[in-house]
Amino acid sequence: MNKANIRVNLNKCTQCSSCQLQCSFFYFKRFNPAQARIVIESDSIHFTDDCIAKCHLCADYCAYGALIKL
Amino acid sequence: MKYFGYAGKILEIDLTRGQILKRDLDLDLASAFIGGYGVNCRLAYDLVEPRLPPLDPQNPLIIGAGPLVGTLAPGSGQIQGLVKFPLPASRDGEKYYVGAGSSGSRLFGPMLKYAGYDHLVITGRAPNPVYIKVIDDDVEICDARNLWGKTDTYETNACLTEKYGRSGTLAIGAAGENLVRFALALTDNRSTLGRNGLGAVMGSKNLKAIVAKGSRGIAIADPRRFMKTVEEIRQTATQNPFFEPLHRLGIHCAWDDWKINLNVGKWPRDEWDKAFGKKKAEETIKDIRACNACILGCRISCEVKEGEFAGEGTQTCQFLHVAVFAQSFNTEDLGFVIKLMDECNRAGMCVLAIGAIASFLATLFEQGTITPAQLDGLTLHRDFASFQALAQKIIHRKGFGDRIADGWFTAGENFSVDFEKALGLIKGAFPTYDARVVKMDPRIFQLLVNPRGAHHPQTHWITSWPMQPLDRIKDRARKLAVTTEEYGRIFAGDSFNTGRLTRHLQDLGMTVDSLGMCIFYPLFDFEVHMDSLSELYSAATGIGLSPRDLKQAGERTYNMLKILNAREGFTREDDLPPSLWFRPKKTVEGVEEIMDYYRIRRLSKDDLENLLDDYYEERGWDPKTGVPTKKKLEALGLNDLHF
Repeated sequence: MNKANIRVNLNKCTQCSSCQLQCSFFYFKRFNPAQARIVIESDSIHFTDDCIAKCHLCADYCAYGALIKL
Repeated sequence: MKYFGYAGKILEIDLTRGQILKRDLDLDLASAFIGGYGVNCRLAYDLVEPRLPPLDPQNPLIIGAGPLVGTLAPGSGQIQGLVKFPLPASRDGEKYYVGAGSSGSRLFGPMLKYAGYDHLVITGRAPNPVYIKVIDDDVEICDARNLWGKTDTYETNACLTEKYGRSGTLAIGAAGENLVRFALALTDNRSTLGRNGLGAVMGSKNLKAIVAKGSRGIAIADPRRFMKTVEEIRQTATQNPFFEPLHRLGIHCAWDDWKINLNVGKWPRDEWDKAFGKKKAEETIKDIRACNACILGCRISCEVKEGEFAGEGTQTCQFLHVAVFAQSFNTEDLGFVIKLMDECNRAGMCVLAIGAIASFLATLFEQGTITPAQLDGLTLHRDFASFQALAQKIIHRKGFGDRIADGWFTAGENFSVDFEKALGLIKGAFPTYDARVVKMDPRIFQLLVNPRGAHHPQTHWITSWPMQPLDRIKDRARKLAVTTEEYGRIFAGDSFNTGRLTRHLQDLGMTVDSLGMCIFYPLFDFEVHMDSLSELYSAATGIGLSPRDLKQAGERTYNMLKILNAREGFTREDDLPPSLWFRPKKTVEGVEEIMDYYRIRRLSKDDLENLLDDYYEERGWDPKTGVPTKKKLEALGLNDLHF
């Protein structure tokens, strides 16, 4: 799914996984991209259905401008 | 037992017997040696048989991912691959050094941890080509006959990720398969692991690749304390002048300062900007990838925009390597350089070694010292066709390439030229930097005293930048967790003592490598130092180590590394500088000589001997033999070790 409060710039993503690490650590207390509610693939970035609409922790941890909080 | 920071298991795989064992990580051992490089060294003490030839199946390949790997600690993607390196370190072929190569990883290291493993110990030799699959509890030795001799490193990564989904890979190409002693492995396509032969060790085990994928994640003992330090490093990073340029150019953003460190070729360095400078990098870089949780981002792919090789590209850790490669060939044609680099990367062949070999042989050819008859009829001009033919002969061990593939000494015998003297080899390896050009900073001194051969990165620090003000160096040295006495010895004169400072930078570098962090953070002056590393380690693992404790663990590991190599017969004699360093180097810019860091005083052989004395004394090692004393080993709790 897409998120109304985050703009995704796929071409700026370096696939560093910081967004997934922050998400899983905050919600599940483990650094574990497999549990993250943001999914990074080589050709796409999307959010899982249980991603909380107002949450923007992943964008807060993007150093490259791939996720912009709106 | 519940583990924090650490994944908790060591995975042991015997390829000869096809056995897979999982055992718990001993936390006493882990805290004494931190993890990564450190624990690798301690495991190697029990597993590496002294003087056993490096390609004997009994020798281990030990991969380590430190306690911070896979966390949000910035730059925590480094893995360490320890082997006995097969590039001969002595003319008689009797000495080979033991040590670890370090490699950034976007996925491989973190995935290994998420699957539950801190270390992977691989011994034996599979009867047929295999790859190792590590997916949580599902560990399997898989048939790789469909890959061996067929897929290059990038294709192997593509095959495995297509089969297993988003995963980390370590793969060799034709050079490793053919046991070329310059072969390395590629981690997640954009990083290299184990310059000087780790790829050949994998080849000798019939091991094409390792693929890792995990879903367990990593727990942190004190999340609030951990994230506080992570936030501090990230916040201060945005104030660093390199922060934004790194995102556009990778490490090439430092070109204006860094080009001073490179060998002068055909043109004065000011003329290099047009061919290899930042504008050229910006035009050529296609995209940037970052290792795990890295906020710098330096793993690039590049694409040739014009000319004969338009559309060709490659993936590499830095555009600077493209420039170094091009400069060693004396060419402005980045097209052919990138194409050749791509062929080397795909073959898992060290680009720096090919650059040095090709450049030197081309010079000998131009001088008439070697003839086409000695090159199987090859006319060695400085063009793509010539260098490609040369590289392929080495990678596939064809004709004269077979002797070069066995290292510098056999290459020299083949052409009746003393490569060791002519190229200034150190412990049988070609040093990345020429001391006459760079001057005597700790990174250059490290080429001599690194037990793992002429390899410099562990001592990257602000002294890798030319002419830094002494006050700035003193300020940063206070964050090395040195005592007042150690600080006083480093700065006893009107400058700094390179021998003594190198010892403390080695301790920092070993700590960084053992934690799984990236040395580029201290190099680019980000806030990664003993204080912040101590906070991250203690918060992550729940094992409280002060900055001094952590530094001592780095020191303990350095002593362990030295013991491993003392057992192989290395002494002070092997740390002596090459005679080439004392011959003035004539260039188009003038004459370069070996000088102190501030370029004030020419250094003599006696000066270097004195620096070695200072280094050994600072280490608490015997200056006559260059190995640890009993007293030092007792102080580090290593008195039960023998060498």
